[in-house]
Amino acid sequence: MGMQELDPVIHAQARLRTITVLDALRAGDSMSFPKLQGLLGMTSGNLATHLRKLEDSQYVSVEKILEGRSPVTYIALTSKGRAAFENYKQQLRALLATTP
Amino acid sequence: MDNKNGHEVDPARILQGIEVDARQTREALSPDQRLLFSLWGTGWVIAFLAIFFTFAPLGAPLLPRLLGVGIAVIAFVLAIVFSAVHSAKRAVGTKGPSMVEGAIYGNTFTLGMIFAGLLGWRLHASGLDAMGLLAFSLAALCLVVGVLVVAGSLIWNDRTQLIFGAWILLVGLISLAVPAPYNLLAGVLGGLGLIALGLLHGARPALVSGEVVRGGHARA
Repeated sequence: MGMQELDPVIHAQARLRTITVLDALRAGDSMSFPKLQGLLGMTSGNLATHLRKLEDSQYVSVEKILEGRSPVTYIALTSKGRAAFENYKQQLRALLATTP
Repeated sequence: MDNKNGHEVDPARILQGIEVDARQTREALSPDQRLLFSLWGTGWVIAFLAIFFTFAPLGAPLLPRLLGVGIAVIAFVLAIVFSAVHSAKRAVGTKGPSMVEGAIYGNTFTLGMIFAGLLGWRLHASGLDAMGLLAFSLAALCLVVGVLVVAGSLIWNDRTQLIFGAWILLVGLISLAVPAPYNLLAGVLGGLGLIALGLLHGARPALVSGEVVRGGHARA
């Protein structure tokens, strides 16, 4: 199994960490942008850029809701994103198994 | 091992990074088990010792009834408030079905406690004496807590909760085997067990945490 088969959307450190954090939530749960940013320790601009790429690939869903009078953005891992992340980890394990 | 750009890839290092991030995230989103077990264990020890010493030594109790019960109530109320605030803080910024499940579970806990309290009051009003009420109270508390926590361990596939619930059920059984007011010492034992569970959770997590069913449906 070659390296070129690893999912390029996930195989970038910032996006991999983002997906890992969102994967810790149970299916259907979502996390606010500030909470996700706090857990990842990323700037909001950087996180927004990576989330856009993940959203374009339909790996995360983004929902904007009003909490009181403040708009809050919630992010969730989609079933497609969760499956892609599982596949990515399986590929890594397979690569590890073939390492001499 | 190289990728198509010629950059070396270390799958072991990446997988380890994923593992570390996932663990840190779970810890950040879940209540601190060490803290809660230590808090509740201490609460149980103080509360049941305080009530015990309103009866013991027999004939010349160490504490006035009102003071002992007051200490127990304060210990439990402090534990409830602190746990609720701590758990709410960890849950801030997340939403979804888990929150609904948690709310239903938490409210069932409260209803179970109220139910047991009212049942005790009804039994007392029907002639159950103070010693009978003591035996009932601790056993009913352990029954409600133990059964709900074991059920929670299956909902969330969490071995720590299974050990916690099973321990509380065992304490309830021990309390029924000992005549009142000495049954209250089973409550003290229960509290010490919770403190030990908290310490083990910190020092030897592999021993007391993880999944109940490997590959089960829920995440710990």
